[in-house]
Amino acid sequence: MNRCPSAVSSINLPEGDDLRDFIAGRHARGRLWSTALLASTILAVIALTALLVNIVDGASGFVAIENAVDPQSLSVDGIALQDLESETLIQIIGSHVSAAVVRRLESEQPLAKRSRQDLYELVIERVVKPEVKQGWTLSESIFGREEIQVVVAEQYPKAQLVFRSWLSLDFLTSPQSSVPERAGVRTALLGTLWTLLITIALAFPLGVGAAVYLEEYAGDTFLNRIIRTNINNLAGVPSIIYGLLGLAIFVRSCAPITSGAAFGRGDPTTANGRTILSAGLTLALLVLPLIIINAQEAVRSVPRSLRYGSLSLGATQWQTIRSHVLPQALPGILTGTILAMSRAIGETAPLVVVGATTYIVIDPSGPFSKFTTLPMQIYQWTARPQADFRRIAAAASLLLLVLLLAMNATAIVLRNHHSQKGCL
Amino acid sequence: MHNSRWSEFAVESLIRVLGFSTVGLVALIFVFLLREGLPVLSEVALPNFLGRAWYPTFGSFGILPLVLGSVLVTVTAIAIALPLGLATAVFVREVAPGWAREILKPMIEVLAGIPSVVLGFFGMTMVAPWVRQTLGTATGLTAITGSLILTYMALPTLISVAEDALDAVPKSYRDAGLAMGATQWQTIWRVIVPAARSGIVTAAMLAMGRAIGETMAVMMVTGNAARMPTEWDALLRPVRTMTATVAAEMGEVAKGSTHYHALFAIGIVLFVITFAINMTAARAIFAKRRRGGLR
Repeated sequence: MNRCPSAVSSINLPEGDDLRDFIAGRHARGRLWSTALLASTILAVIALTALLVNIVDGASGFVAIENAVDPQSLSVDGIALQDLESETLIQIIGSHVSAAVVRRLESEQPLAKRSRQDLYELVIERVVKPEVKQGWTLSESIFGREEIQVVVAEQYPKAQLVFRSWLSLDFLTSPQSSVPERAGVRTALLGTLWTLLITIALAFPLGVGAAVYLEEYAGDTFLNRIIRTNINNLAGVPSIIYGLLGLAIFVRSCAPITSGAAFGRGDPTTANGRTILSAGLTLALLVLPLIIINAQEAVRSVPRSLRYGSLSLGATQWQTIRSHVLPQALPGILTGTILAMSRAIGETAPLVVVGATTYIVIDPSGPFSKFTTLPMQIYQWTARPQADFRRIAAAASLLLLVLLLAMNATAIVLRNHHSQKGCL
Repeated sequence: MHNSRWSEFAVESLIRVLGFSTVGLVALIFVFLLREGLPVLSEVALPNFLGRAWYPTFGSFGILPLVLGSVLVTVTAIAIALPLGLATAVFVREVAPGWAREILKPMIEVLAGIPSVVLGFFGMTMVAPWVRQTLGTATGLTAITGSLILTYMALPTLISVAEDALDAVPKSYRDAGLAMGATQWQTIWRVIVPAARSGIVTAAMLAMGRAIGETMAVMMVTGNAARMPTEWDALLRPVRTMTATVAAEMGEVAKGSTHYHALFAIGIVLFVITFAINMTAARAIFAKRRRGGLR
C-alpha cells in the first residue's frame, strides 16, 4: 500500500549530481532494508518449516526388523502363518513357548477361547518376536536408500528392511508399552479426551457467565476495573503456576473429593488425588481467562441496536441477553472456546506438577482414574534413551499437531462464517 | 410477574457471582502460593534462600542460580526475537503484497499453537545437535539452545502484537511521510515505527512474560544444571530455570518438607516477576491511550 517510489523517481529533478546521488542513495537504502525485512520473514518461515519437516521426517522411514523365528518356517502344509486355523496356532505356541509361560497365558484367558486374531498376535509376540534393529528417518530413507541396504546387509544379515510409518492405526489403538514397536497412544488419547471434557464442562459456563457479567451488568466501578485488569494478568500467569495451584488445592487439600473417596469410588492407587478430575479442574482454571477474554469480545461485538430493540419491547435484561445477545455472540464464543481448548490440549507443565502418571496400560474409565495425556506421553518418550522412542514421539507429535490444526481450522471457519453473517 | 422477577434476580446474581469468581481465582493463587511458599522463610535462613547454591538434598536452597538462569535464557531469546519479529511484523503489515500476507498470517497462528513439548522435542532432536556441532560446545543442551527454542515461542506473540501496534498508526502519518518526499523505507523507519513504539514495547514485554514462564521446552533443552551462569560463555553451558526446577522436582518431594515449600517459594518469585512484566506491558498500552491522538 502507498507504494509509489516509481512515481517519485519519474519527477523531473533539478540538475545537480549531488541531489541525484542523494536520491538514488536513499532509494538504494530503502531497497536494501526491504530486502532485509524480506530475509527476516523468510528466516521465520524457514524456522517454522524446519520444525514441521523435522517432526514429519522422524515419523516414518525404513526399519530393519529381525525376527527370532522366520514366520515362513512356521507355515504348516504350505499355508502361510497369517491364514492358519486357531488349533494350529495353539500348537505353534505350545511347541515354541515354555510350559510356564503357556500356563500363565492359560490362566489369563484359556487359549482355546481366544479369537484367531488374538492367537496370531500372540504367535507374533511370543514366537516370531520381531525386533527393530535400526531405524532411519524419512529423508534418509528417500535419499540414502542404497546405503541403508548396504548397512543392513552387512550388519543385520538376517533382518528385513521394511518401510514403516510410525503413525498408523495400530499406533492409535494400542495402549502404552515398554517396547516401542508395539507402543501406542490409546490410553493417552483417552486421557486427553476425559481431561478436556472436564475442562470444558467447568470453564465454558464459568467463562461465558463472567464475560456476560463484565459486558452487560458491570458498571464502571472500582471493583469492576480491578476485575478487568485481573483477567488480562491472569492470562499471562505462567502455566506452571496453575500447576502449583492445582497441586495445592485439588490434589492436596481436596484429595477426598478428587480421588473419588467421598463418593465411594475410591481406588487405593488414586487415593492421593492425582486423577483426571484434578487435571481437568487445573486446566479449566488455566483456560478460564482466555475464554472470558474471547467471550467478552464476542458479546461486545453484538450491535447495541439489537439490545435496545429487545428492551424497548418490554423484555427484561436477562431475556434480552438470553434470546438476542447470546445467540448472536455464540459463534464468536465458540471460536474462543475452541482456541482455549487447543491450548489446553497441548499443555504439559501443569500436569507434570499435578502428577500425571507416565506409564499406564489400562484405559482411564472416568474422572477418578489415573491418567496420562498425549503431550505427557510425548515428553515421557523423548526422555527414553532408545532411538525408537524418538520415532514414536515424533509420530505422537504429528498426531497432536494434526489435532490442533483441525481445531484451529474449525475455529477459523467458524470465525469467517460469523464475520460474513455479521454484516446484517 | 412476581415469578419472572424472582428468576431474573436469581440469574443476575448467579452471573454476578461468576464475574467475581475471577477475583476469587487471583485470590486463590495468592493465598495458596503464600500459604505453601512462605514457611520456607522460617525454615531456611534468608542468606541461604537468596544464596548461590541450589542443592536441596544438602539443605542449600539458594534460588539465585535459578533466577539468573531464567533471566539469561529469556533475555537472550527476546534479543533474538525482537529484531526478527519486528522486521516480520513490518514486512507483513507494510511491505508484503496481499497474497503474501494471506499466507504468512495463518503460518504465524500455526506457530503460536505449537505445544511446548513438540517444540522441546524439536529442540532435542535438531537444534541441540546443531548447537553442539556449529558452536563446538561439550553438550548440545545449553542456555543458547533454550533461547533459540524460546525464540520460537516468543515470535508469534511479538509479531501479532507488534502488527496490531503498526496497524493502529493512522493512515495520515504514512501519507504525510510520503508526501514530504520520504521513501517508503524512511516513512516506515522514521514515522510509523516510532509512532508505534509503545505498542512494540508491549509486544516485547508480553513475549518476555510468555518466555519466562515456559517450562517443558526449556526443561528439555537447557541441560538443567543448577549453577550460576556468570562466566562469559554462560550461554554455551547448561543452565536451569525456575520453571524447570519446579516441574522436575515437584514430583518427588514430600508434602510439607522444606524442599516442597522452597519450590512454592520459587513459584511466588516467578509469579511476582511475570506479574510485574505484564503490568509494565499494560502500562505501556495505557500510556499510548492517554497520549490519545495516535489511535
